[in-house]
Amino acid sequence: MRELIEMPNANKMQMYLAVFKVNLKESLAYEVDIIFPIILVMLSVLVQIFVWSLVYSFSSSSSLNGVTLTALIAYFLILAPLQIIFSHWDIVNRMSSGIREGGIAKLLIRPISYITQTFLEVMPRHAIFFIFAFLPVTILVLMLGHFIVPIQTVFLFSIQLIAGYLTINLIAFLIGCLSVYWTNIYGISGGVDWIFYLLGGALIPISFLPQQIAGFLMLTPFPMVYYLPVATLLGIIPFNNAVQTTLLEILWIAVLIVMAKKVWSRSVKVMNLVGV
Amino acid sequence: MEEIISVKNISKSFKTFEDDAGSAKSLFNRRYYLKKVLNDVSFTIKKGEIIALLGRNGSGKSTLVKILTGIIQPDKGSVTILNLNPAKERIELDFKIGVVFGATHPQLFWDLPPIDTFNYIKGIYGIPDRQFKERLDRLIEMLSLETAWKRQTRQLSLGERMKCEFIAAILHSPELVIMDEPTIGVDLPSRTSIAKAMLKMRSDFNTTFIITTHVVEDIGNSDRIILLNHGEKVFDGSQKAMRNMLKKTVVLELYFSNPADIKKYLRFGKPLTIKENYLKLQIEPSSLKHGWFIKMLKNKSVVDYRISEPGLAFILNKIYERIDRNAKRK
Repeated sequence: MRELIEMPNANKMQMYLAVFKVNLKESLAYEVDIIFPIILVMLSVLVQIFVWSLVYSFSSSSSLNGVTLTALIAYFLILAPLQIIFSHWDIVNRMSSGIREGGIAKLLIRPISYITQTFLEVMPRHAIFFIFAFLPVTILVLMLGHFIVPIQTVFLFSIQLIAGYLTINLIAFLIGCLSVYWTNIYGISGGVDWIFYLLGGALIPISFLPQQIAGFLMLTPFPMVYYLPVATLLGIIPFNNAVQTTLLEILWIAVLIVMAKKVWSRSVKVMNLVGV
Repeated sequence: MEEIISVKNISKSFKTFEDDAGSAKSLFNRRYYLKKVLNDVSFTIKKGEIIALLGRNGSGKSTLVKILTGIIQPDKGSVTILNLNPAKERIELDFKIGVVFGATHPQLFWDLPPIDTFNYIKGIYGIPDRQFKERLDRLIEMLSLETAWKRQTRQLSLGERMKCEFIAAILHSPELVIMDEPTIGVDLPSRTSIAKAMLKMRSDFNTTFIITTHVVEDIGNSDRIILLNHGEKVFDGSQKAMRNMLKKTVVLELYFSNPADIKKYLRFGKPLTIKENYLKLQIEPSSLKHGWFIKMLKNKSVVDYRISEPGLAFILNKIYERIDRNAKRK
């Protein structure tokens, strides 16, 4: 760290803020890029709501697996903007094209670790969706559905959101590292997308799956991204169970951070970027 | 002069495959092999030197630049830059160097004006406000950028963009600046102003520059040339030393009123260019004393002539030809 001391003005927070700010400005350059993903994901949610309304209409009970139709509609509505924010595509796309086309070089000439830079590059776009789509939709859904959320649940939900964000992006980073070995990884990335939708509770809430499968899935990082936070907020999961699963998630994050650092330091040794 | 770069016996290979099937068969029948991009390259660079790193496309220049900047690591050999190992101490090194990647990998944010990139650089390197303003004002004036730095990058001309790329690389006053083909496609005035700024920075701060280029004017400002061919260093020395590699020759250009007379002079040297009424010959200097040359001066069909030393482009071409000949013999 000799050189950092020689550069007294290089403050880490200032550095991170500079990267965040410039990427935030770039994310806001085109409004269409912000508005259309929200519209498209909301349309897909309408289809899901329609299908589940039909399923409930055939049921003699007002709830399925202890979940009412109102709670299920609220679940999918809150999940919709979350799918844009908790997407592994942003990081995988950046890493994959950067390694395949050589653009990664411009990041590796800056005095910030590549992992930090990659996260700081995608965060501003996600922050925009969080503020302008996720927050208003969630507040509106909770108010219209007359959901009463205790303060400790809101607190746990906030921790779960941060944890879920880290989980999906750390997994995205690990997938992105595969570009160093296989160059084009869009096929793999598309598959991972489906795995997360299916096993993460974006298509069907985990509690609707057979008990043994659901129990096993709750030990993996997949439901922690979508299902866990939204189900906790809406009371689909009992509070104590949610706390336990969140602690497990934090353990998963620690493992993923160590893996991301190790895999990247190995990948950078074999990266060639020849001809680009 | 203090030595700031030491490259010792570095080699780099990468795995690639050949596909001559040209069909779905190639999915299952690929011949993978290791291609050597750099082979046992060594050199040192002193503080304040301007080095032109030359070579044909695919000679290993860009790979060498990526190794020097710590972006990739060599398979063998060692690199020390400003007492740091780029592979292991990349982040520390990045505070001390500036890099321009030409038009291929622009550092400017495409959808924002360059001023946003400059502010980003300011934040990353912790440049104090006053110094930032002073440096930026000076560079904008020196490079005649006027209002270009306020317009969206994608709307700038290539010349304006490259000037801004240059500013982005040097705003934090690095000790070493590495420029990978910074002037490809850039017009002469822009190239000249970038070269002027580079020379001024060298004279004011003793900054070291490494430039990979195919543009002959860029080479003219260098103190030393390192020439790579198929990943091997084939020349390391001054421009004068490079000229001396070839047998002394001069270039004679003749303009005729009667084009039919051109063929009379073809045998006196090696024809380089023949056009309607113009002949360019490579001749030995002693030929200027021969009878045919004296007679030529009296020939009324020769309306004008010019004698000059061959330029760097000519010399480089000759060296490449010689390398290819030697390779064929082997």
